[in-house]
Amino acid sequence: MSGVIDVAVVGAGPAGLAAALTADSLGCEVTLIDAGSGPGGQIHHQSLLFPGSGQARRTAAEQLPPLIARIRQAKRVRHLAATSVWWAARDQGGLVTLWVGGPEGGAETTVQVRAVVLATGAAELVLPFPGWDLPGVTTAGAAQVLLQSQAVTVGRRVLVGGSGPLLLPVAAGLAEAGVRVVAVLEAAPAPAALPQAQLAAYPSQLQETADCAAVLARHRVPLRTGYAVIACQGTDRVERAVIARLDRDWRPLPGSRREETVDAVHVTFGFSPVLELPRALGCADVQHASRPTAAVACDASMATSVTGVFAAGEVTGVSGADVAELEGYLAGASAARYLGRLHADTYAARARTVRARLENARQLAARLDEAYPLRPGWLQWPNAGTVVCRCEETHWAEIGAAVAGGARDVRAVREVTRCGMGYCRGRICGPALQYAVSAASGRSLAEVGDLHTGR
Amino acid sequence: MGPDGVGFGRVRFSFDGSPLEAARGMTVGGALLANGIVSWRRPPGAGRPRGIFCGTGGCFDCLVDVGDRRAVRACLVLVRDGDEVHTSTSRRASG
Repeated sequence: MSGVIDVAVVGAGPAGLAAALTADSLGCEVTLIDAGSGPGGQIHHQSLLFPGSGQARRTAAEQLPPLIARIRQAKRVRHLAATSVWWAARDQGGLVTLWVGGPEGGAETTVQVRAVVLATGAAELVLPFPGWDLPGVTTAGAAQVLLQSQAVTVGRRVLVGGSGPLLLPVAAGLAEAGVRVVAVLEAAPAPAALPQAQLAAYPSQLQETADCAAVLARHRVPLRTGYAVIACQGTDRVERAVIARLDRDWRPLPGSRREETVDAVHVTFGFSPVLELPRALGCADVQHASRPTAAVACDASMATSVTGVFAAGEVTGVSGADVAELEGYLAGASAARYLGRLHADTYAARARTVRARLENARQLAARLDEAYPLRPGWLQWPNAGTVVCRCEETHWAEIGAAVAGGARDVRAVREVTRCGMGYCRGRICGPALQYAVSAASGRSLAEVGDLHTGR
Repeated sequence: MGPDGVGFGRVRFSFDGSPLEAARGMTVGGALLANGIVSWRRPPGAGRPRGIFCGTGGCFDCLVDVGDRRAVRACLVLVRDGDEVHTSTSRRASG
């Protein structure tokens, strides 16, 4: 590719789409880069199947969201689908180079841009427990993607468990697809902890929850709060799940264990911002106070600590699609202003409007974040032989031994145990590792850092 | 619109020598799951067989060999007519 492009937007979820549309509308040439085969990100999965193939079931994803319809009309947006950004660097003159290629490497090329909007989203946060490495145990997100994009289900008799707002829609989707969902297990001791009163101010969120609850009720799927899958058993795939009732801190209550026969288990504990690219570009990030996640630091215009680099959406803190879209509008306008395409007073007027809505949406997100905290009792779920790092097959006992042996932070533990050194670069085990090292060493999450923070 | 290779009908492929079919447009991982196969990788250590875990390209658990393409992510790569899919024992993605 030749020539320098105005703006690269990395990620085509709600934040990236909103940023690309805004920059486009302000006269910028935009290259939108996303690993997915179509726009929408992890929240709007289009069916990959040809509608006439007989297996394409109708799902909510097939009702084209407005952002996706609009991006297809955008004049100056070039969408590089099924494309990953492998690395990024900014030169002295402020130009940013992105190394891009197919999802499995090859055909690598570079894109040079004057401004970047990072909208790389978040990955599912999962916690290790005995048997979580058995086939048939997947993230809840995986179950959702497979169903929405390919009309495929992993099991016929399943449990959906963990904590957070994703549990209900995933379980409802599976139930609608004919899967027997034995139960939805929410570890949080809700409903008392759920901020229903505050949620009432946000009818769309309430409506979605109510819709999912109605679907689950129709299929007679029980929602149990204060419960978790604490182990899975089987030989070549999951055959049984061990369920336990939890105390407020997620410690399994004595005598509450029982087994369920299942052929799949889908788990999720929230989301963790994907920080590889912002960190490659040198963007500062902030550690979450109570969760083992960090997020890109941004000012009120969505500018990161690096000039010409903006960020929007989950990568700036996990706050949901509404916040992501609004941050995308702001980041797109800020990138255009940075490039001189938008007068300061026009920008200020636009930004004021968006920020007012953003304020409301962020308040809801903050309350959801508070309603679903990770509690330390999960540290009792793994046993000595539980795999923590799925790539390197580091076991739970090795983590504690490394800390006891003097490793004081996550990177020191990694050096001793290889935990987090595999090809996923710690995306899967990183948050659990950070939490476990913090607990074992008695130091804060910020003090022990994560796999990629400097010391 | 759709990615290359998406179209009407079904594709034929094989897994470790057994002939299988899937809807055109499925990923290799989706095609294997649709045929009741949940694992297709043996990690290098003593660990258990692996299949789809994160489903979004992040975890690299689902690595599979497709023809001469070694250790590709089954959750991302679309299955094509005539693909010979094999259990992977690769340690690293071929990149």
